Amino acid sequence: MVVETKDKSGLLQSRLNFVYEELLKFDYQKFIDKKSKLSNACPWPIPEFPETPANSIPVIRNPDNYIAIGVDGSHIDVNRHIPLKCFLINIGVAKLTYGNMSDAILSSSPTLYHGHSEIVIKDPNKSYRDVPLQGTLLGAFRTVKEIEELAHFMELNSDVPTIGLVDGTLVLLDVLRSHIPQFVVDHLLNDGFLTALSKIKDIKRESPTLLASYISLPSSKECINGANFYISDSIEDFHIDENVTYDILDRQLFSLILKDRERSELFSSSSPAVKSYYGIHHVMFFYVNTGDEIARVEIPHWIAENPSNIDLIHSLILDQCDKGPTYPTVLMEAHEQAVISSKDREYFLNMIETNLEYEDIAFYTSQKDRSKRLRWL
Amino acid sequence: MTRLGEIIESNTNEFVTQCYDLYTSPPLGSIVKAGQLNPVFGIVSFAHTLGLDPTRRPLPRGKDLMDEAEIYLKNPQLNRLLTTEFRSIIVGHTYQGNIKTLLPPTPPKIHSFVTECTNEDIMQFSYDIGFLESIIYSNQPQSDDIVAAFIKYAYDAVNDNQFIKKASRKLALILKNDTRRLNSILRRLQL
Repeated sequence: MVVETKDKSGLLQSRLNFVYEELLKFDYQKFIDKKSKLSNACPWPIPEFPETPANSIPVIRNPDNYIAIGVDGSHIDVNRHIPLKCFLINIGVAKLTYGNMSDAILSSSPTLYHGHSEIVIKDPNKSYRDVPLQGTLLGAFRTVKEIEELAHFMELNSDVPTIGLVDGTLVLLDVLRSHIPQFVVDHLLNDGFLTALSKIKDIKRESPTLLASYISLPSSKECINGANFYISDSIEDFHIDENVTYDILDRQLFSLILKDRERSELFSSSSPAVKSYYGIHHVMFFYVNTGDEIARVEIPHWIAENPSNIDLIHSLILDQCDKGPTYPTVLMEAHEQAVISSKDREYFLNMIETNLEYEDIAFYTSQKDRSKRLRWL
Repeated sequence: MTRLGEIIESNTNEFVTQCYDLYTSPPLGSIVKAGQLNPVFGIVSFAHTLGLDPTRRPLPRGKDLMDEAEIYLKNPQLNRLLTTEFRSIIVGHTYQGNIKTLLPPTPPKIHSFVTECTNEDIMQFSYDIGFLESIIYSNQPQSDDIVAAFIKYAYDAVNDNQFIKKASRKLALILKNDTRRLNSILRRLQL
């Protein structure tokens, strides 16, 4: 595997250089014309490209006074090996005020969900139908709780630029999969995530109120797909060499394009699901060279309507990465508030066990779980 | 009097106070009062500042800054993630409204408020510094510094030139068989 990777690296680099050279002489009209002929069934999403996708934009000076609010979450999933069905979500928030009124608020809000109505999503039209909140859906539910908590913190008064930062993508991918019932999508995405985004959008302040998500070491290939599509002679089959193109990531391309501390132009997400659900919150993104890595920053469309917002997000994210160092401080501190350690998880389980026994309810577990705990020789 | 923090560890010999604000521990050798009902008195013997989470170590943050204070302005979370604590050796307690320079029958409660002492309280401890004997022989690594610091602290409150002479005579009695150590403490008093 390692030898194979080494053998391919030269091939990848030359392909990457070729793509980069082609993007330097990018013909926007040719891209638009070609894209208009592309069928909707194309399996590789092609993002909207700006007129100069190989542009590298320098950072503006960040304001001395600003507020950064980071949010992150952690959860204990439903444990099918114990008598009680419940899960716990802990939301961590870090609100850091910089400048004259320098201050910090670090908060951790754990919530226990139990009882059938709290641990499932019910179909409002069919009372017998529900979907349990566990696994990836619980992850999505947690993301909704994170953004709702962020909205709550961002609504608090402030007269300086405020940026809300989320860890990871703004696209609720786990909800947008084809097998997820519509009522679940409505509950989590429309009534939950997007409603919270709208709350943030509707905050009225004289100073900018910004929202962005930060993805460290992104593994997206949207721009590479777009570039391959642009370069290829074919419209439908533009993957020139599967062995090569499958292994190239956007961040590798932008490591050639972006100078230290500079950002890319703004691209628009190509996911059909995002297009159909997100509306005004349609996800836009850019890449930024933080000096330590190429990170992806996603923002809702309404933020991008004002170009100065993007410049401000660029500078604030770099300032946060400088302070981190290497990763936004607010996200790091929010994570520290959110994290549930293995000891905490053990304590949580013991607490359930103790309380059940206190109420004379027998605590049982599966033999599989027992064998994992005892680890006999 | 200024409230400094709350007790987070306690026994009949000493207690540890966590300060409400970073870097606000009282000076070494000063007297603090713990508890509202029948307060206990302690001499500050050690103070330190550390991360609240023992698994997170501070890292240098001021390489490109001119002023140390800027580090805290540019990293406001530090004020929430670091904490200052100080240890106090118990030297007295209140019994029936009077200060006794003896150990208390029970340790002060966890979360007892810890405050600075009034001048009157300090005067009470300055009448007879015999209680310092327990500190001198307490095997504290810096006990000589603590004793000297207390005498200077009490002198500032008493504002009487005779106090240092009286205190020195008392020390001479306590350390009559250890002139090397006596000199060591007296030398510290001259600073």
